[in-house]
Amino acid sequence: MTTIRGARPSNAPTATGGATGARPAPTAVKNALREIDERFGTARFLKRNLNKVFPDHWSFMLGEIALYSFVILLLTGTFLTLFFRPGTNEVVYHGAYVPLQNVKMTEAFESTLRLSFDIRGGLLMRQIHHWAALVFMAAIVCHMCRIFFTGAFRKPRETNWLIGFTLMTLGIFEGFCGYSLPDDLLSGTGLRIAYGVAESIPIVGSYVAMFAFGGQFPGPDLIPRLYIVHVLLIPGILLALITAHMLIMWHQKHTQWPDAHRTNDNVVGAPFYPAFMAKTGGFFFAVFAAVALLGAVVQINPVWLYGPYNPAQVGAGSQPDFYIGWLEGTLRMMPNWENNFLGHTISWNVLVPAVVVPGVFFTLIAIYPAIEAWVTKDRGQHNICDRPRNKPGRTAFGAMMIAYFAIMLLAGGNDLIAVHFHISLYATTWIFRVAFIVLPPIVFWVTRRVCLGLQRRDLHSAHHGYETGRIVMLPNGEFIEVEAALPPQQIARMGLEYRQRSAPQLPPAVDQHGVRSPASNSPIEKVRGALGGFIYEPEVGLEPTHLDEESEHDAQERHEITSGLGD
Amino acid sequence: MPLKQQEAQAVRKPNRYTDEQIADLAAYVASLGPGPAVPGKDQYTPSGADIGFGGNLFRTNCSSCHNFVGAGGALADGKDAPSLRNATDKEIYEAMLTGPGTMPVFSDNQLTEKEKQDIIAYVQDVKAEPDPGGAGLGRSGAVAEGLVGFLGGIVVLAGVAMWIGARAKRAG
Amino acid sequence: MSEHNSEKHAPASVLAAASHASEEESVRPPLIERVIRPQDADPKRARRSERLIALFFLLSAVGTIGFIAAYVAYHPSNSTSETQSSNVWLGASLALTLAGLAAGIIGWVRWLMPAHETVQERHGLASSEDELTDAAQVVMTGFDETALPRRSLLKRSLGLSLGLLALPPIVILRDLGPLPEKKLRTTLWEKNSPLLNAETGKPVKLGDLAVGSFTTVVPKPVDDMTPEEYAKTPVLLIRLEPGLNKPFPGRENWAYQDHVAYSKICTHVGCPVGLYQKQSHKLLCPCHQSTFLVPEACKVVFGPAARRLPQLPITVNASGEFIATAGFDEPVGPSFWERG
Repeated sequence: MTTIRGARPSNAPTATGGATGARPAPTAVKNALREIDERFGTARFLKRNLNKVFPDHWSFMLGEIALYSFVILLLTGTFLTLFFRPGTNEVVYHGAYVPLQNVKMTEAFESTLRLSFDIRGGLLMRQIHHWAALVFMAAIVCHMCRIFFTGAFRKPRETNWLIGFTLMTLGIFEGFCGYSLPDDLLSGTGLRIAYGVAESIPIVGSYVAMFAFGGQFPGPDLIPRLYIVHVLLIPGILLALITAHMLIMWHQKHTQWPDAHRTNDNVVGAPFYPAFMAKTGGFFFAVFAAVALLGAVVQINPVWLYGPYNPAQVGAGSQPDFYIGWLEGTLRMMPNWENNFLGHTISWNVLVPAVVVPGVFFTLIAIYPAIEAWVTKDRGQHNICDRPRNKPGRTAFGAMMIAYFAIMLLAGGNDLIAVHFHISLYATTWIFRVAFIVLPPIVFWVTRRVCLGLQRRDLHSAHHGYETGRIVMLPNGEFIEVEAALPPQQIARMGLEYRQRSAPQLPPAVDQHGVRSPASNSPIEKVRGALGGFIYEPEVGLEPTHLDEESEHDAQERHEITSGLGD
Repeated sequence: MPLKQQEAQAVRKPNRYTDEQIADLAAYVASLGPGPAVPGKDQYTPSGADIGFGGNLFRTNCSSCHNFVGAGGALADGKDAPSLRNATDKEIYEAMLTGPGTMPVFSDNQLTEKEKQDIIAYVQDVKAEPDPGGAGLGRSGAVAEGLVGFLGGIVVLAGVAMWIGARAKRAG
Repeated sequence: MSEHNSEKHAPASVLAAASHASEEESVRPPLIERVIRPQDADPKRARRSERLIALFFLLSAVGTIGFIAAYVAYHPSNSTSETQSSNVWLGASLALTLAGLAAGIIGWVRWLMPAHETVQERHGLASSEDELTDAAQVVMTGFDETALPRRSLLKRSLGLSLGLLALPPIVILRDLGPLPEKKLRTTLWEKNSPLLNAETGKPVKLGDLAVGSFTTVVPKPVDDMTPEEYAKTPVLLIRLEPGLNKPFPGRENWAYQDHVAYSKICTHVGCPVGLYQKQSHKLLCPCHQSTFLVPEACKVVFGPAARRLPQLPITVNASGEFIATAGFDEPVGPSFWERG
């Protein structure tokens, strides 16, 4: 379909009239712009950037959920800092909540109770803040999965992947510091666990623990340090990184799904001003409305029920927020392995689940784009999203990582599962241990097969069309079902031509003159070849991809039908 | 009562005996040897109790099995510490005194009558307190909150995003 | 249609239109598809949409007024149920304000702003080969201007100075915390420490605990200890059934008449092990389900803890009160590298 010549929104006489009118700018507008332009040279910038086209798909808005949750966290967080006191000095509670009357507690806990029960809007701001934190982390995870499964981390967006990864890890730490500020029994237990984890690090563990906490547990400087990290240091870094993340995305332009008229060298969608601006602005209000509603009707982090922190006390069913909860799960699943030798102890039972597993997990996430680029030797720029089915190896790997994460997360709540579903507590531990080993590879294999199957179906539909349900009898008496070709736009959406793009192009072992390629003997190249073949190569038999080529089978079939022969 | 087996978790069942029959049974068992008596109303009624102190006692002695506010929790050996949602003052006092099932015993020398009343006052008051933040989600903590955040928050917002990005309806 | 070529360059038609458009001095990106919605075709429909959007914005205004009203009407400190009312009405009205704005703005863009599909070229990020060469040349020439390549004394002394500069920020953080030394090895428990009830501060006497009972004790009243001293001291005093305790050889006198005392701080990562199951004599830590068998010196029978709970040797003094006969013989709490 050709672009409509000379058709700009300005010419359209539509019922929405004024919105698309092309009247010249009134003098006032031009003068205002001139004032700014003479000082900042903004006219050129505005002309280019207000026109910037953004593609339209709901899955591209997941990152916006995270962005707007962050803004909400800043707004509500500022309100909280006006009232919260990060003090560890002991006070006696005389506030409005009866079950804690005359109880000794730290000033941090007391000011949290004051926020909740004495300050109008205080509880709402606390709850919106905590709900926004959960939505922030959940959106980051969903957004990261979207980027992963569509291959949007490929060149030129590798840096943004790393920035996003850093944002995620900082967000996890920020949330941990944040919910530990009120110094309640639940989060204090988490801090005790963190101290124990720090202690388990070989050689430097006790130093790390003492320096981070300012002494033995709990440490007189702990809450004030958490406070400054939570309200100043990490938000500052987050703000800078988010800005960089957005600027890079702005400069590189957004990716888009394969579709008619969409190529690797263009962007199709709506201009930034006013349509995209309005969409994203409206979405900000929607995100805010959602967390406000949650803050109004669903209770979160009721610290008055937990009570002030006391190292001799603990509650059954203690779980942290989900973004730490997966580490709780690993700590529960791990067998009790510990080694002593020559006066030193290595606590594998703590080190592996709380340091090694997250280390490996996060490292894999961070370096995945580099691994994929290495295996596929892909140096091209990619601005079209992959359909997950078209990259079976990557999709299966991602599904496997999600399976690991889900098992770890559920294991963190195994005592609640035991109580609610009447399963023995120890049985749940064993079930999760076995599932952790056995399930993810199964998920990998199943996902890969499903992707290949979906690819096969896509190709079949693209070549043969879809079944119309009309049965026709041929002159020779044979019955066939008429298949109609899919509309070209639907075929374009399958993104078939993007399947082969990342298949590894390994050099032949021996070139046309019989000279052996030096790369063919290197063990690294052999590993790369094996990985590429198993993970990234589409299955043999799915060719051809080019729709104007016919397979032999199709040619024979066509001949049979049109000649009226065949059995 | 009756328990399925000695090792089984005791669950609340419909009463088989009337209150009079229970009192008669208890009197007979009491005649067999020493042991705590059935508490009287003045013992288990928490009037003028120190709720705050009771909360402290609860969190030191009880919450590690029964959860921060008595919502119940998992134990080893296939058992669980039941929720205190339906427990009366008398039942809580009796449970502390006798240690039903695998629950430890808290004699009146260890937790005095007054301290037991404080604990009962705390449990009942916290049960009666509304959840000021909204739906309490069973007061079970971060797991339920995480589920709501994902399902309530993300799913709903993804739905809004789908509305925003949906293909515009064509006229005619 | 040559879809499979499109990866390398845009279809000729789009390119042509784009350049054609620039000839006509278009200010907006060119269209691919003109979308005519019901609102575009029918003015009545557009007005209806406008009214719906206006309704959303009005609801938003109502929400704002509701918020102010709720703020004035409820004071959370009056009672917990009024806290609840305050929260729910403030929050619901705020949500209405925001949702009204959201729905109104989104409706506005979907129904009244143009929905035409526009296209824009990406104009590859990479600069031309010439520019790249020039940039590299600028870098190299400037580097030569620094005189660094020729002046190795300059280079080396700069390296020394800058390298050392990394140290003060690290050095100044030395006082973040004390050195561990022996701190993790000792607690306040020592010979003759009384076993005081952690809540009341009263000494626990022989006979206070019934069989199958347990309590939490500390060596000094909690108010007389700093939080750091207090955190490691909680000890569980448990009364087992007669004859059940199986002490280590040489540790028979660490128990007193079936009363045994063990550290309450879990050896896994430090949670208090508060769950005592009287029938199976197990101590269960609620955090990660480490389980310790009390009659067998708290040996680990399940879960991630690797070591038994340290035992405190106890006896009863002349007044019938429990006291410790010595401190712990090993560090309390989670393991650490130099623990031994």
